Amino acid sequence: MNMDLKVNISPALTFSWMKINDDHIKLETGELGILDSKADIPEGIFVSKGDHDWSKVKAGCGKDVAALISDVKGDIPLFETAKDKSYSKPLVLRLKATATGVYKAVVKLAPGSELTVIEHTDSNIPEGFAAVSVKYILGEGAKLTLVKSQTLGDKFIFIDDMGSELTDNAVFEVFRTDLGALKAYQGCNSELTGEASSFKVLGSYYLRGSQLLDFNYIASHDGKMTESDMRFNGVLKDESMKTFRGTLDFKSGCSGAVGAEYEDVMLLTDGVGTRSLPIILCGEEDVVGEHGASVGQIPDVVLFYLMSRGFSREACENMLINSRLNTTISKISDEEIKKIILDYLKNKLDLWSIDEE
Amino acid sequence: MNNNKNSIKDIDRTLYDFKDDESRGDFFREKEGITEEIVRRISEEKEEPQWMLDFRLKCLKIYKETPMPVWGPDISELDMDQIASYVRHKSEMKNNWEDVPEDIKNTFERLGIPQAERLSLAGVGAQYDSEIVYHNLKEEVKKQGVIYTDVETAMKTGYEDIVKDYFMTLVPPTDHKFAALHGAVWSGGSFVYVPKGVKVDIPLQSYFRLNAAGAGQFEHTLIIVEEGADVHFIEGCSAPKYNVANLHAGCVELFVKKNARLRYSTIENWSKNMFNLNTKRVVVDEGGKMEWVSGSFGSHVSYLYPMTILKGEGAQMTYTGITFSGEGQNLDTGAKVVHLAPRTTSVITSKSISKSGGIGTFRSSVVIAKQAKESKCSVSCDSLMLDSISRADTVPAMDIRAHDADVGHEAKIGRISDEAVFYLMSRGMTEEDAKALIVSGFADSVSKELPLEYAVEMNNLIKLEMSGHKT
Repeated sequence: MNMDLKVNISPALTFSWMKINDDHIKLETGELGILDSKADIPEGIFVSKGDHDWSKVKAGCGKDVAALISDVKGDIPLFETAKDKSYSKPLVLRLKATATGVYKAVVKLAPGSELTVIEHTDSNIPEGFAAVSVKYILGEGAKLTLVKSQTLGDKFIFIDDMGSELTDNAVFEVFRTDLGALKAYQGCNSELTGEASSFKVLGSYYLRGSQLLDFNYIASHDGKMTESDMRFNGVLKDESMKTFRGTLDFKSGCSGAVGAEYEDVMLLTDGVGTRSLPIILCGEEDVVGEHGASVGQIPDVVLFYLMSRGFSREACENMLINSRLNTTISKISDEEIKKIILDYLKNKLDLWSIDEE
Repeated sequence: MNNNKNSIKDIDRTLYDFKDDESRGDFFREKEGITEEIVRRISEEKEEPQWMLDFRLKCLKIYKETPMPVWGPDISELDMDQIASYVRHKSEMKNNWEDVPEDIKNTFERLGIPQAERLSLAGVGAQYDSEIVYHNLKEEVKKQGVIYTDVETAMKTGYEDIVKDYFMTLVPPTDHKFAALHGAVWSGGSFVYVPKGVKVDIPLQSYFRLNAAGAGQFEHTLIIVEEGADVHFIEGCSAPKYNVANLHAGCVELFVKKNARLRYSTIENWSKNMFNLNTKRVVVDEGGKMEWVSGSFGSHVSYLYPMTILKGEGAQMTYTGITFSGEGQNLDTGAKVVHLAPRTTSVITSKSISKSGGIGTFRSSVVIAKQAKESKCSVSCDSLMLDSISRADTVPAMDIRAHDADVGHEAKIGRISDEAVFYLMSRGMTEEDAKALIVSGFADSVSKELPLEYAVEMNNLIKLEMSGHKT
């Protein structure tokens, strides 16, 4: 099938000549099926069909991607926690792309429950197309920690279309590490409808060769005293390219809301490109919205300090790349997935890991 | 009863809201709409060379083919079939205020232009509707070789080649729909040429007044600052309020040559029926320096983003702007910069205040090309919301292609901090005084960049005063 998808459309458009308002995916694939997946389900999680919930939660990549994933036939699993139950073991979703396919699921946290979800997408072939769309629904006072990672083959096109709805006092924390795929598109829409609900993201990525990472994160503040914090640390090398779109949308009535988005991009070589569109939309007086961005090469003082301790320039760069990636890798509590990531860093990227020292 | 009311007032526009009667026969008004016939008539009226007429007609074609912008504030209320593109007083341009028709002279007197000229300006241009009605340059500045006139006069007094070389080369008609419209029906504006090495110590100022209801103003400003030269140009504009839409689609093209410096200050106070779709752009050569100072207070809808192209090594740009959006206003303002050469630097500082349902949007773009090695850019935008029925948005975009660039960006939106008010009140200030102090402090970084009389005007405009009414 031929695809021409408009993805990651910014909620507020800007100058057309910047070509930053959205992106397009054009590719030809075979019939899309369901990705191979294996779920480690902790005791006390109920599994059923989640088609209705999946459809009602809006994600971040846009309607073209939603329609593409929706059209793929197959059951949508719904993983549901029990009320007020705290799970000591994580729900682990291991997604393996063996050809072209999609994975869709819903994770629903009952009020007062607490859960960690570890989601890893990998492939055993170098080339293909994978789309993942997991929707998260958090009941009152629920706490969800999501640890996502991706080490797809070098020529993969990857779409990660995520959505979440948070009711009163719900807390959703996301840690994500992106290393693989030739072109990766991440969309994430988080609806903070409940009072004092909180959405936080810490992402890290390392792009090299001609990799492209395009992301669109939206924190929509409807509830009073809601909080969002989106932080991304990245490293770009060779001819790689990153586009970040982040939106803090303070709706009228969300008094007391606080939102922040920060981006720190380290540029290692000539030929890289980094584009950013960090938006704040504010229809409420009593809020604080902030964004900040820092783009540049490794500061001379840092290099000087490290090199004066006997490290080569390459070792310094590796150390700094590792330190950024480790902020999110360290959150992976599943040893099997952690090993996959560390092996990927060591063998594929020639980065030694701080964890091994 | 002691009823203390805390409020920050809207901008007081009574100073600008007076009008001259257009129906007395002293005015020529082109019929509404944009047609080839009208474009040809404007060109004929101005006795233009053929190349300019051809250019106008080319622009008209592009205008008709170009879609409306898909981003930014809604301008669907603007009906071009209801806009008269050319209105002029039957009097010719004068260089002595005494010779300017009484009603027009009175208008500029009330705006304080002749007084400012006497006190602190090297030269003044005054445009009324579509044409310049007054232009004058101090003798000592003339002797330095500075040329300051309108574009039409420049073409007729030996500078046609310069105009031809520069006119709409920086803002081509293909840039956007209203640039094309401007190219088709432009009229009036300023032509400034500062020769190599000349430093003009006191500013030049052009003031644009749109008096006619349902009309458009399309002035063109062309400034060339030659190598090592230095000048400060001030632009002011205002209009009375009508119940029909007015349009301002001016175009400013600035050329700052090697090691030259240009400061361009604007206080924009159009009336609240104005669609302000203005385009400003500068190209800065090696070692040159461009300084934008911008205050946007008026208009119903504004699209205003001065653009700087840092073309030569070491070129610099600063943009300092403030926008006050009140009731019925949707002001979309900011700055654009393109770094094309090594070691170029830019600093964008923006402040925005939204009140009484006003919408203020800061929009920017920063592009650092691959060859712009070791370039630096800093963008800072702060927005203050004074109530919950207003909006303040920030939409900054960046595209960095040089790995050794150093780019910092920060933005903050919020209201007046309770802690700051509490702190000042604990030092003995009233709540009103505390809030007024905080807001004027918020605007201070911009007002201190303005010439003194404009800083005073800005303060008058904002009327950031707290009132304690007793009834």
